[in-house]
Amino acid sequence: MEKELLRVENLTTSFCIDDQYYAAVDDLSFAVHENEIVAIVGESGCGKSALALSIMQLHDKKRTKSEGSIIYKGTNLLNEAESKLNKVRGRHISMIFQEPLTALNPLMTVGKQIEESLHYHTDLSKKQQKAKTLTLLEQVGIPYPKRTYKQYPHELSGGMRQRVMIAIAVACSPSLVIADEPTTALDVTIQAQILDLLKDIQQKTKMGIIFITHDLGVVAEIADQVIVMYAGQIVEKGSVKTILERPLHPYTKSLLHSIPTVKKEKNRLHVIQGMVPSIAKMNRSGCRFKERIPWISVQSHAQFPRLHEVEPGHFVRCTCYKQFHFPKEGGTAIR
Amino acid sequence: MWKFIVRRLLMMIPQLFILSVLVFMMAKAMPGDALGGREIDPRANPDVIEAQREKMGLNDPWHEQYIRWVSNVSKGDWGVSYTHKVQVTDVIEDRIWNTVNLALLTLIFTYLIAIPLGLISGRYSDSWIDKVITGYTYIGFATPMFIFAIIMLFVFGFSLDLFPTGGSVNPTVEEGTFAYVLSKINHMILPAFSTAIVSTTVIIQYLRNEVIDNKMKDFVRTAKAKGVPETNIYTHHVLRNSFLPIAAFLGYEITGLVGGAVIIETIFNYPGIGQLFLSSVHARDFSVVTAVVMMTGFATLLGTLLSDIILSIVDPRIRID
Repeated sequence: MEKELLRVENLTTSFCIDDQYYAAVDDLSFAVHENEIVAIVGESGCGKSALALSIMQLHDKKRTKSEGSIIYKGTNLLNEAESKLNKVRGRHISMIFQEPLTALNPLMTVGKQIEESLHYHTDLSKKQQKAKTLTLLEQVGIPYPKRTYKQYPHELSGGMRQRVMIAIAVACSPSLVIADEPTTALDVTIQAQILDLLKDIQQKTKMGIIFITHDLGVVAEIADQVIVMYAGQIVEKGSVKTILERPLHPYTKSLLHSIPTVKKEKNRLHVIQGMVPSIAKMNRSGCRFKERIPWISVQSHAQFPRLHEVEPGHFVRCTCYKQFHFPKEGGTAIR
Repeated sequence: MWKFIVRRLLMMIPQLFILSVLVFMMAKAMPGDALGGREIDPRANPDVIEAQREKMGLNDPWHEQYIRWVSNVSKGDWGVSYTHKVQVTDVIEDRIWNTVNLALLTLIFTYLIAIPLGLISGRYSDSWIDKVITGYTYIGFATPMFIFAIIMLFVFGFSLDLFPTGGSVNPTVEEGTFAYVLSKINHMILPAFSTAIVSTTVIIQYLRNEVIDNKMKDFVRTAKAKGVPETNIYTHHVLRNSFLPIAAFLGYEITGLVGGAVIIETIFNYPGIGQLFLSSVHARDFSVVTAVVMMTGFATLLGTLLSDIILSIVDPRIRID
């Protein structure tokens, strides 16, 4: 087993809405190892991005409360002062954001934005910073690094911008990169290129990646471990093979069932009924997914399901997975 | 860039033409004329005055007078001021620099107040200091400029006797000396500050909103994720983005100052274009009125052009060609 990079234990992140705290990330525990890609999957509103921002502690401190522990190299990041965190952010743990156009400063040249990381975390001179930036641009597959160095974000295409984001993230060779839906804003061919690039860099540097996505196709392509999140909780966790081949939780099954395939084209596509509850309306007890599978009525839904290990390395939070089945064709599964 | 500027300058010609027609019509629509006012000896023979009117063409329909005026202006002749009895250009030339200097000092004061207050207010939004600053801007918004001006005049001019209460320069100092420059500045401080204290409130609010808006942007989060310390996030990322609309505002601000000069110069009895304009309207000195309005109209158009040019320089996304 590779060395452990980051361990998240019982992390709960709550947002303050109208003077009340609601947990967007609820009692989450997992670990990331060196040279490992952990995919976090779930619909919009499941708390994936909230989790990413919690690890980096980029939430507005006045309206957010994080409890539990985020252990990086033996220290709990939740207890660190802002100045210490700034030494970790960008240097040891960095982040790639979803929408590269808004995530880059429109008034700053691409080169300067990459150099900024180097400026705060290395002792390189101005000249060395520039040289390093040009190498980075080349590494992320920018065809004309010298020209791009002087360009502004709006002058680049979406794919190029995301390459720049990656260059910023890997500038100081961090040991962990959190990629928050890095390919969602891109079209499919560019998506594949960006994934290849990330995987390529990851294999060279042995860094760990937390890869947040809602695209199971991407997960199959890139991940080692998969965490399925629903309503702020982990509902299923395991290796990519286990999750994709032997999913157990009804939510994971439904997600996989909702992917269109060429073979099944005459059947109507499965749709998960309803939507993720907003954090203010989430169940405080009992299964949070039960509303969306009304054709399964199990007494034990009222209990609070615990995450339990069903086989080595495969965790599920469900009480009904043995009874779960999809409704008959033309049945209640259609909106 | 040069093409754009030339095109905009050419576009000003029809705009100024329309302005001149409107101004001329309205000036002529005012009751009375230069020969009917207080300047004329009441004992003068009405027949003589009427003959003089006929001779000066004041009885002709306005469009005939307009055509005559345009043809003269196109030759560079703006006519003679009825009250000052000299060329209009000379009358304006005497005062224009007073107004320009006053406007410049006002601009400096305006931005000196607005930038720090706006930035503090935006960065520490909803803190007590932000509430104090926004409170001030509301008062500044709600109170007409002349009230501030009169209070300033009364407190600092009369009661404390710190600044002169009228004129543009101490008549005893010799022109060209350093004392002359100091005296000029001394005369401008009160009117400039009174204008700035009010005109700055809009910019403070703009800047505050921009800072609040920008500090929640995604690229600020990216900068935080890079490990950039909070203060540097403000100086490197939030600031420049927040200055964009303020820079664009500069051109329009100049326009506003030209209009504001009428009130402030009258209150402080400051011999500038604004005061000249008001006295010329009273005296029905049409040639001066039209010339001043045309000039301020031109300044307004230049101001908007300046705004566009500034914006294209500071924002790389806007390129003029």
